Amino acid sequence: MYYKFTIDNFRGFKNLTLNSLKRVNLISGKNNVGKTSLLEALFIHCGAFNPDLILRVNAFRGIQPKLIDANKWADVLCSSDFYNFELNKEIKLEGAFDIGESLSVFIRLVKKPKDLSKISNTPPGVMSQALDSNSKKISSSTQSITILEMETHHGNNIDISYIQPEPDGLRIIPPPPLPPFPAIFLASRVLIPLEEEEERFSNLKIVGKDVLLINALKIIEPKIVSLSLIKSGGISVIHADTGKKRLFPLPLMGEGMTRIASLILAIGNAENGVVLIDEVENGLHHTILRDFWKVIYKAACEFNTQIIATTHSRECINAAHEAFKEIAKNEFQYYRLDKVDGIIQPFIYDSETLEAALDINIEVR
Amino acid sequence: MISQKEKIIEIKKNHLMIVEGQDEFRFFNAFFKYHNISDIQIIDIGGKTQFKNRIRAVVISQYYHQVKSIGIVRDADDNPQGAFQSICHSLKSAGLNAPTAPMTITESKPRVAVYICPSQNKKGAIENIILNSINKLPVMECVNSFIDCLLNKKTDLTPLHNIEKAKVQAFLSSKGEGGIQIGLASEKGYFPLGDPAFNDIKKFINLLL
Repeated sequence: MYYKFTIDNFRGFKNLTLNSLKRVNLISGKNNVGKTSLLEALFIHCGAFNPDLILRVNAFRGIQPKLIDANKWADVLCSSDFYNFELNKEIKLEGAFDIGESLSVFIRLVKKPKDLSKISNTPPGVMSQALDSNSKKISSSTQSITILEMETHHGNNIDISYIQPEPDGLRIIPPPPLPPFPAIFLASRVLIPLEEEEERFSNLKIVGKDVLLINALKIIEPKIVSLSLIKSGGISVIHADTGKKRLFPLPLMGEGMTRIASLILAIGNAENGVVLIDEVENGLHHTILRDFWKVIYKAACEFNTQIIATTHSRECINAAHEAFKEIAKNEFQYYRLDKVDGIIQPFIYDSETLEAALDINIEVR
Repeated sequence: MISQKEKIIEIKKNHLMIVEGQDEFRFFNAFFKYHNISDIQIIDIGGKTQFKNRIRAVVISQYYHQVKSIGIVRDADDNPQGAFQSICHSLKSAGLNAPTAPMTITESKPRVAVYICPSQNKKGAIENIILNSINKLPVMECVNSFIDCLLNKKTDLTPLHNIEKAKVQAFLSSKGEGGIQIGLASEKGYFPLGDPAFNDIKKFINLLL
């Protein structure tokens, strides 16, 4: 579990450190202060050895270039990942964990022929999955090549991997190993494919933990007694038994049901890892938010998963504060990101300060 | 008038005056309106309890970094020195500088000043100042006679624990508005807010600007 995370030169962050991370962390702030970027930085850091995630987080935002010119691909795909577009500075993501370990990831562009030559001896690698099939055509009329390098320091080990443009797409070399711990990113606007939900539900069901999901969904529909995967039209969809004659497909029971299901399934599939949730309140009515946080916390404890979420909703912040005050005051941390003199800074609210701020009705978002 | 409690407070001005309740919030709003003061934002932090956490909530809120000065207004009650020391302790806990005495301002960013009401050496509250402002009005002869009469009866004096507040309320009764609070009374123009009795408040405001 992270207790500290530092970002240097990534997107809008010149330098930012989040201290005192807890089991459940909620981040707010006005538009364009970097809430989503912070989650993306964490996601890349969680992947540790996989530079493909740098491209994948862009894909979450809908950035899918149809043609990549090898001369310009860095500009197209990741120049905006560097603070102030300063491509000569490296991105540094550093996490410290409660078990006493730390993990640092450095991302830099490699342009010099001397540096590029050292890459030629690396294994063949695998093609990037971040781009869709129409995005993999790369102009081969290249005069110079720019390669993205990811260097990971984990304990005494240093691993280096690259993404380089090739005529048939982007190649990751060497093939990335498994990340040190699982991480799931739930973007605010991207629907999770049903196949992925099916797999996550099956993983939960097989170890008999689907009861967590059932109990979580009961905060919206108390009559749910069981959940099943039903195959219809070639796809499997989670169905709920609410005591009626027929099972009901979960996606038809409202956005709140699918949202809670997605979150619980993500937590259950990121055991000993991290779940990153953008705009956590999406689809949820304010009246259930307090109970929502309780079920999220219960699932997070069950799977030893850390939650880092963003929100725009004061009701959501208030509900989280009230819920954790009741069940586990020291397991929740609230942050607000703000730009001060053009630099994004975190403002950390301990429980007493957040309570005071909510009491006097001062803006906390 | 919309009270502060009905809306979310956002810091919008470079100078803040922090008061300890809705009544004070409304009084100072009326005072600022009377004197055409528009550069100071009044924030009600809702009482003396939790002052430390509440001042910190202000200090870490959005746009606080643009604030140039903060004034804290607090009633002396029975212990003006204690009130000042308590505020200074809370200011320091919230990461702010504290002035060396009431009615002085720090050189820090933001500058910080404290006003103990009615004054740094006197017990009481805002009602003491208000009473000074209305004491010369003819109707106060009746008010003073009334209160003196009650006191001379030597009955249960608990309701008259605070003579100044009782006199202000008796004065407001003469306006046909018994039982209203001083904030609302100020908005209705029942007090002569231009009276020299309020000079210390004006001095304090000038410190902040």
